Amino acid sequence: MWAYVIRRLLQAIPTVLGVTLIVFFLFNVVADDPAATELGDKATPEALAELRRELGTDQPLHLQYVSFLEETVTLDFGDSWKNKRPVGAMLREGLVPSMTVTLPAFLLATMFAVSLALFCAFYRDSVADRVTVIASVAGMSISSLAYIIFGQYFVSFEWNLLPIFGHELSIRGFVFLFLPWSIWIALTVGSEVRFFRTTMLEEMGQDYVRTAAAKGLGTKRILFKHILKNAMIPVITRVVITIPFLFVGSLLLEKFFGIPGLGDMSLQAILEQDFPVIKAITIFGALLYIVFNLISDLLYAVVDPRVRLK
Amino acid sequence: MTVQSTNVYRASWLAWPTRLFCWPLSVVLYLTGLVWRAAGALFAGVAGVLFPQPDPDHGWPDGRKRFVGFARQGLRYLALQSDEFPPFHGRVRQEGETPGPWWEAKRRLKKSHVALASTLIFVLYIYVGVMAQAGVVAGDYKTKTKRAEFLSPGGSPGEDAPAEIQDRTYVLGTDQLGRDVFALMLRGATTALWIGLFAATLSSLIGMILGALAGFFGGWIDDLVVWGYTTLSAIPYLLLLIAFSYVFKNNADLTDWYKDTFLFTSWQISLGLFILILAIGLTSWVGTCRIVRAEFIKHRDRDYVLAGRAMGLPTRRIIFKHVLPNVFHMVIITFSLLFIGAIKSEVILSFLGLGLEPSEASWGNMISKGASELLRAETVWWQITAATAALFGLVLSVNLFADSLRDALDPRLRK
Repeated sequence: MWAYVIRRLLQAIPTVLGVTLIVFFLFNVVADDPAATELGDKATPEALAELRRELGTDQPLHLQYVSFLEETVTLDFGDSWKNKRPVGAMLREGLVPSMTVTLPAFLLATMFAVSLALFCAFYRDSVADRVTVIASVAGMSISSLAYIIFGQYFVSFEWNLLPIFGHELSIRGFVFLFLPWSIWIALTVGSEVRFFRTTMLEEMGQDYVRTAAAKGLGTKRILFKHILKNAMIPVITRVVITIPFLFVGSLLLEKFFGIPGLGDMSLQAILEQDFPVIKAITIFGALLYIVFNLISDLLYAVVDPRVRLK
Repeated sequence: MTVQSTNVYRASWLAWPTRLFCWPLSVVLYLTGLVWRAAGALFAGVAGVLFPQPDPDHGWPDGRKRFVGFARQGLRYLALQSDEFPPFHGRVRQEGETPGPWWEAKRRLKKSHVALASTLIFVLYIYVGVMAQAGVVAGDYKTKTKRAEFLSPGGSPGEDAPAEIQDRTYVLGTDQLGRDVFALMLRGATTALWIGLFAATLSSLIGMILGALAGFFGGWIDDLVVWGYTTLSAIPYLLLLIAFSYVFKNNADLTDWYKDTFLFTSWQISLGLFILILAIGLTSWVGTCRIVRAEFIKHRDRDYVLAGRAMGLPTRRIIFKHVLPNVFHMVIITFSLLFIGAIKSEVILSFLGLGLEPSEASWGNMISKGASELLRAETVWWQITAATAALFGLVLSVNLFADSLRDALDPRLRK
């Protein structure tokens, strides 16, 4: 197993290199000169040259890329170009608010979706099942912006139930998070229910279910001991693969609800051409993605003995 | 030996004068007949393609053979080689010939009421989109009217509005510039359909070609493609999309180049639309590529591929003519999902100011403007509601259609 882990981690090197290539190509090659964007049209050539030297964009491209690689290897991306603070500290600060939004919402949504899917699969083709399936397709068809905007409008503005905007890292911060959580659940639960329902239906058609029923086991036992356990394999894989994207935060929710997390930070960084922040967040996200992909593969082998790591 | 011929036609003495007298008439009749036949064949051809009829004995012939059979028979008929009118159903399947998976899928799809309803709704959207592009409906969506701002649905501008619009009723009201929200909504269908169609085509093409090459050849090509899509999927999708559209939008070379292409000059696809299509198309091919690659790996050692190789067919032909049709149903399903994804991405990007120009009609623009309008003292809800409802209808119909399509094409459900 350790050999497998080490090999997978070595295979991750090209992926990180690929991410650096994409980011570098997008922002250092294709995008406009950040110095010109910063200073505007009326900038003097001297000021432009000065700023470029300060940002390091006056170097030839291959040297810029080499210094980017150096930063990636040392995981030290220097200071943000906008607010002149170390990027590492900014990331650490943004991580917690992001996760207060995404992590509880994700756990709630997954638990809700799994139970609903089990219910639907058990009572398949009943009225309740059909209504759930139709509702989840309909829910998936509404624009995510509409959920956020109408949710904010009705709950916070019209009915005045919850604050519309803000974030607080304390027990009272719960009131700010309740609406983003609900919207996250509404946004994701449709596709999750459909995916889990298909998985459960596939499991229910397996031979071992028939065998268990023929042995005379009760419905409850078959459902929770046999089917749910087996159906958990794809569920766990999906959950683990989604986790790295939770760390980076929900871009839209953070923007709308004024949560100072990584999602909002990365959006600002792109719109202001703040290269160090963009680079740090993408590399951070890619590393998490690689690690959690590896964890999901290992888990897969742990929960399903038929799977061999090769 | 004598041959008793009783029925020999013997020309009467009138024969030659008659022929001489009648030849202009017979030429006219002959030519008229030809024209008549040609018109009939054309009509039957169009009708046979538009409204194909099943052959009572053999059921539906498959699509391509219908064309070929029809064309062959039609040509024979035109050339006076046959008196048989080209059959509506085209070539009839021979004894022992199986109908084929597409025929099965079509039959299943036709049975589904959901598929029928969603197709009807989708066709309605296409109709509206084409009509709005042609300017037949919503031709005045850009017209800004002073003193007719923020009219509520069903409202008319008052006395102080310009004389020509005083009596006009705005079904869905007007926006902050006095533009007709109903016209904006209809025109938004055009934008949404363009984005969905082009972006999904672009990413399907990229994903299909890369996936086919990677799965079929394996080796370093496979490694390269897998590396490419692993890299792309390691970056959160929305972040990637925003980065691509931001960078493309601010690249002067790209925008200058685009303004000279025929897409801009003759098709009038605006710069914002093009950048959206490019950004969405270049970032969303990963799913298609994965699926196509996995299917090609399954197919590349099958007997028919080996047979094709043994026969010395060019590899290009094996990939695109033999394997790809067996995999293509997966591409169709992912295409419909990409179509939806592109339309939904447009809304988000337009909201972030990375999509279309604010003056252009798109549901994304309407929703993002509507967000602030909701919080006015007198709530302006109609613009955002209209756009959300229009988007919902289109996405729901495509979603449902994709579901029925998946059911129809899923080999596991086939009997």
